[in-house]
Amino acid sequence: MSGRDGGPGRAADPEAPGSKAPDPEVPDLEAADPEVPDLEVAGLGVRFGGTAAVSGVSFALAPGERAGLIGESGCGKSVTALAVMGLLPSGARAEGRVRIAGRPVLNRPDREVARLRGTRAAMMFQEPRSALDPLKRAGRQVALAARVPRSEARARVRELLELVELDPDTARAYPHQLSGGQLQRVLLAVTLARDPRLLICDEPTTALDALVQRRVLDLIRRICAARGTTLLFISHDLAVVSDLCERVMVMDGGRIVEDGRTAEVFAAPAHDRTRALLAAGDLAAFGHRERVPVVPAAGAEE
Amino acid sequence: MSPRPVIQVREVVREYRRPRGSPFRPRPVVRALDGVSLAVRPGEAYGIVGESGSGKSTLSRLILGLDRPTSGRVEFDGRPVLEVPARELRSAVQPVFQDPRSSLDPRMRVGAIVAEPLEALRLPVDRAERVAEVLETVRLPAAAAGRYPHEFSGGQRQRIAIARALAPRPRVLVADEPTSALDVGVRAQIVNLLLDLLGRLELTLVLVSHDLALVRHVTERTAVLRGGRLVEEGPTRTVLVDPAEEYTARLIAATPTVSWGRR
Repeated sequence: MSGRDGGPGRAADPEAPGSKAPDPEVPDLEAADPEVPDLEVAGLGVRFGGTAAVSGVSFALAPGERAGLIGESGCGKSVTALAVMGLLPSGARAEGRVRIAGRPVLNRPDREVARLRGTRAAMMFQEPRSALDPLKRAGRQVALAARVPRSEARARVRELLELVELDPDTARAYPHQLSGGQLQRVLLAVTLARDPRLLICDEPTTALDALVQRRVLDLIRRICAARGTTLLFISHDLAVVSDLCERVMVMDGGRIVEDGRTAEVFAAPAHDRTRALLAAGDLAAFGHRERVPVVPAAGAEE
Repeated sequence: MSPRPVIQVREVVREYRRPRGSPFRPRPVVRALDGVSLAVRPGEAYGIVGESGSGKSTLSRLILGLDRPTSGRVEFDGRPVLEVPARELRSAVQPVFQDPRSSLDPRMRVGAIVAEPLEALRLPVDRAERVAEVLETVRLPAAAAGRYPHEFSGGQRQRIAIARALAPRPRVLVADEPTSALDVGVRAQIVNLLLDLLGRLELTLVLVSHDLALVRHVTERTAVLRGGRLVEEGPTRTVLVDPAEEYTARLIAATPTVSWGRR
């Protein structure tokens, strides 16, 4: 994540474009074509030892598109996100193709993928309490992620805190002094610090209660709409996705089993998993104390 | 008239002192609960909802007799909770905690975990028999008793936590966010299990949650807390469908719903 690889020691990495021998296969970052999808995944498979976590996953996100990736625990949605960000754990073997802004990510040296993280694609994780450094003030963490010269840091931090609708004084607070909703906003500022074109959120609001969750989701929607940011939103909560995303992809047993416009998928779900997720996520559709149908996960642990 | 409440909360105030911010000023006082009164009737499912910091978890600890109010009192079966002999109260009012991953001891086998309240309360029952019985009640195989918590999924672990709570045959189950650590499919299983238990056992359920859909689905009456005060209280159908208070309406409106082409 940008906050982590934005440490002071790394900021001076000789990673300016043009400092390496040009790779004919790799288009220049700055010359990125507006027609090129911000994210392209083709035939993605990820295995851990003998177990396939993800198989045959393909999709592309056009600039500014907001898509939800939903499914139950263990369905492969988070592994897909990690593969996209080039952050798979060392035991994982990946095949297929992942391109961020036209540049290959899968099985490429981390040095190469790191250039895309933060600027082309950035990921916001689930638990702000573990994603933020407890020993650094919020403003410092945002400044480190922004990687701007010291003289510009204060103004940039102020600008980013304003973007996530936090008081500028929040910069001086340590994480433990902030509420769950405030922490989530700080983490969003960290994630957006280098103006990524693609924002990936992995269950960003599950730990928050309803009113706070609603405000954070509204904020993410407004920011994406205002900046034309492409969004891949990972969740098990269909209600949240229906609110935020115009497109939804449903995963089950490591595969995408349904992919379509949110309104259409939710009005007429084609797959059992989608129907089960819809049913389970929408208790209000059932009579008081009516039992909720449960469909066992395909090839899952249970 | 209606039967005597099994849990009665009367004008309860609970204050906490925060750590001293300055050595020259007194420690600030926080009112976690501020004059809350409510009554839970035997056999009903009663919801307590509110945002983080509303005081709902403080209230559930007071009901369990794990904490004492600053003023006011909590009664069980007509007697102040703090005067009910600990053994009696512990077996009659059982907690189900939020996160089964941290509330189950990873070094104990499931059988020992489930038998723990029987052990602690020195109840005169055949432990193995009772363990097998409650595992069956929560629809886990009897063989689960010999295994460790990590061998089970999140939903199964929550079942183990519920089995443990049921072991001493409690009259009241106090469930604090029983589904918040679970994903929707597993939440559905736990919802079904709770409904099942309410139908089969003579059980009073106090369900503390910020999951309004869950509370609306399961309970008959609901109390809404905000900043330690009772905002409103009454039949769930009224409170969580057609609330009298503007705050409750906002809480309901904030809850995401699957709205496309349904309902």
